[in-house]
Amino acid sequence: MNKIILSGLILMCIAQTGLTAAPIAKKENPETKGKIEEILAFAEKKQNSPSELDQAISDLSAYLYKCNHTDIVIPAGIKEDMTKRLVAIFGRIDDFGINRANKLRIIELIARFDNSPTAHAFVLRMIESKNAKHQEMALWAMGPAGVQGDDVYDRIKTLMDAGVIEKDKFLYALRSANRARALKEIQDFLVKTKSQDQFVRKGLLLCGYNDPELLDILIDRYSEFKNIGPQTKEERSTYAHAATAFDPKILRQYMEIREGKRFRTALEAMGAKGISGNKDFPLYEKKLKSKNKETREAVLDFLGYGMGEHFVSRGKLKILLKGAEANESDAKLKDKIRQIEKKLGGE
Amino acid sequence: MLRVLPSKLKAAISLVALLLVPFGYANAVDGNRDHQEVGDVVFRKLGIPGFENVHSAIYKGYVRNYVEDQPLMDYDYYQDVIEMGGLGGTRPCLVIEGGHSEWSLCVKNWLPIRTMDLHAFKRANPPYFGAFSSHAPEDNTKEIRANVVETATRLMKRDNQVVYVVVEDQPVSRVFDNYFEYIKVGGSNAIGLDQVVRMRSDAFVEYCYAAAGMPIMPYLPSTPYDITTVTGADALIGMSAQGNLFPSYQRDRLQSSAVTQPIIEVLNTTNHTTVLEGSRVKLGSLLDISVKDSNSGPAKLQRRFYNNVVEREVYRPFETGATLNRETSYSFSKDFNKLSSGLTKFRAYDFGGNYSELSFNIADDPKTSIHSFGPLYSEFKGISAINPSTLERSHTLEFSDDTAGISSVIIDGPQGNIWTQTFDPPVPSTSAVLSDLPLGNYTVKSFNSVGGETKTPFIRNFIKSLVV
Repeated sequence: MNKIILSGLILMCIAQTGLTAAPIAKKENPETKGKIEEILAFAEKKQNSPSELDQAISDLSAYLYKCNHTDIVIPAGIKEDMTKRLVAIFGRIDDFGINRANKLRIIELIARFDNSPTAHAFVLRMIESKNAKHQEMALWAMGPAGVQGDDVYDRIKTLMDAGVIEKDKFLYALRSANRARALKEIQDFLVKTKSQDQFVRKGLLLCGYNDPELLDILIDRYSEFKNIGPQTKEERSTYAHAATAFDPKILRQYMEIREGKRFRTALEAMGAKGISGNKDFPLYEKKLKSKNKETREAVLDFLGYGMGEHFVSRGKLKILLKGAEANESDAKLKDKIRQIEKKLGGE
Repeated sequence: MLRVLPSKLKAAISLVALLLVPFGYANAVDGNRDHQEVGDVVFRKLGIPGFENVHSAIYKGYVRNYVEDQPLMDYDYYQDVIEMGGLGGTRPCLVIEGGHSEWSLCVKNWLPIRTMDLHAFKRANPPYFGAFSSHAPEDNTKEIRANVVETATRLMKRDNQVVYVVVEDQPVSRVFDNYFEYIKVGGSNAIGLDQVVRMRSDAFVEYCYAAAGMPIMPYLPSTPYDITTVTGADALIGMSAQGNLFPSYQRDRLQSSAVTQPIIEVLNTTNHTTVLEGSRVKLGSLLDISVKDSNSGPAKLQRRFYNNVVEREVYRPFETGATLNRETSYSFSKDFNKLSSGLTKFRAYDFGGNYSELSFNIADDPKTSIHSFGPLYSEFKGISAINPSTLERSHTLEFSDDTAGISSVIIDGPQGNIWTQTFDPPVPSTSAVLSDLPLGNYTVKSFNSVGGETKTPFIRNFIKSLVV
């Protein structure tokens, strides 16, 4: 207990000195083995006392997270030993009351923090479990710090194709298992889905690849979903506008690299989010100089809509438009600029 | 190192009880209970027996497209909040330790990040403490507020669900020292949305605010703990692990939301004047209407109608021909020739359900009636194209305009100007009697206060009159 408080205090002290965390090299902590051993020994000793086992699992979880945050490497052997002992506890305890929670949290710890063969075997078993909560927990907890790889990917994919695992609900688990291979599945799903809800969810999943080049699929289907609102109270409880599918950061990168119709759609989605601000001003300034007429027109439509006051002051906007008017060769667009300027009024 | 549950549980309960009062739970100032702006934090009572504190959510705003034409946008049912649902229910559970047992509370179910209407949020566990926003005015712009809601929405829609800090069947006491879990990926100090694993309801709010660049929880006012960074998140997790971080702390670091109403601006482009409350506008004028709102953004403009069947005012959407979104201003345009004369009342809503009204009168031309033995004109408006004849020597003239008022009357005859009268202020009606009129052409002109003119010429022609 004292050690936990001390570590907490150390964290506080670091924060209060205003130090920022510099990239920390991966390192091994000589105390790691001892700490994990101590917690596991307590868990094994108290496995017949669900509430004390719950405490041990909480302590183990807190420690594993702390190692992850501070880049302390836990040797693979220690993690696999941990998994073996947790699997043994999992097999020995009943599935009632607090132990139901203990079982779920053992699945979570193994899937989240260990990628050993033992962890794979256990998680694969859970993925095929008839206990829906065990299956769901295993699929949910896998990821970059824990279980991942082709064997898990293939098993999930097979079960999805067989209809055992719901694709709508667990497509993300494929990405957790193998990020690169899952991309095509996500793209195929997005091409076919007719659900506004799934468009948003899988759109965000796609944005997680942090690659603006991938956004064409979302942009091309945005107009199909942008006017769909919640129709029932149930839909309202999880409703989000179709523009939510776009991570703003990736969308901004996308707007940098696209022109014409797709740029216009991206701008429309950004407008629907309502988050366009001063930081976007240079982007719009740049796009007003684009060689693509539709790109320039899209920016002008955006600026004219709501007089551009949603993201920049009138004075700044007037300067921008004055420059654009001087550079604009197209008569129609020149006229559009003048109309906006006229509406802005005054000098 | 290892903590034993029952004593921990008792410690947690007593610690909560001790901390509530010193940290202002009991004495905290209320927020704005009646109004709110998009992105505000709304608080209600937590409602876990034995663990009194507050529960927070992000106010999302008016629900667009769901009930698009609802006349009462300020009604709580049409406002949404996004919350980390948290504990859905608790049940008694037996905690066994060292050979003896005692009853405690365990989690029956937990609820994910979800949207619910403000009415339901307020009702879930009264009292409702109101809406709060940041102390810093620069943090309350529409752009930042929209970013808060954007992050909340994305967290809600994340495909691999962000889950609550406890699972079913765990002791409830875990809620009080588990605040936030994330997985660090790579060497970056930033914690992106994909790295979030578990959140308590106050951590959810904290993350949304921090992602918009305005963390709520500081250890000093000038030095926030930014939960979207490893450094800040671990500091907050450390506070929580020591039983020193509760949702009420968040409320104590915010202020009651200062709500602003949207501004309706009507510009008469015909005469380049601003149409003010209670003023008059000539029928057919070209009006530019804009609604501005710098906090939540303009959402809707409605026009008042009087429904004779139900005998009350009703409001209908003003046609815009475009879909509104959360900008700070929006321009409406309308062919005002299609609007009838009389009182025109607009009501504009922002996305926070706050509204303001602007009333003005659209005035037609004044009415003129000219009677002799029979009527030459009866409540005539505009410029007359005919020139009726009369043989009568005396005429009664009546002028009226209930909307804009009669501001002047000019009567000219063959001998020149017969009568000129101006009214300041304008009068709803006036009349004149002309007698002993010589033969010749007459022109009667009346004007109202918005420049509307009615012109009623006639001829006093004795011969023609005799023929008739």
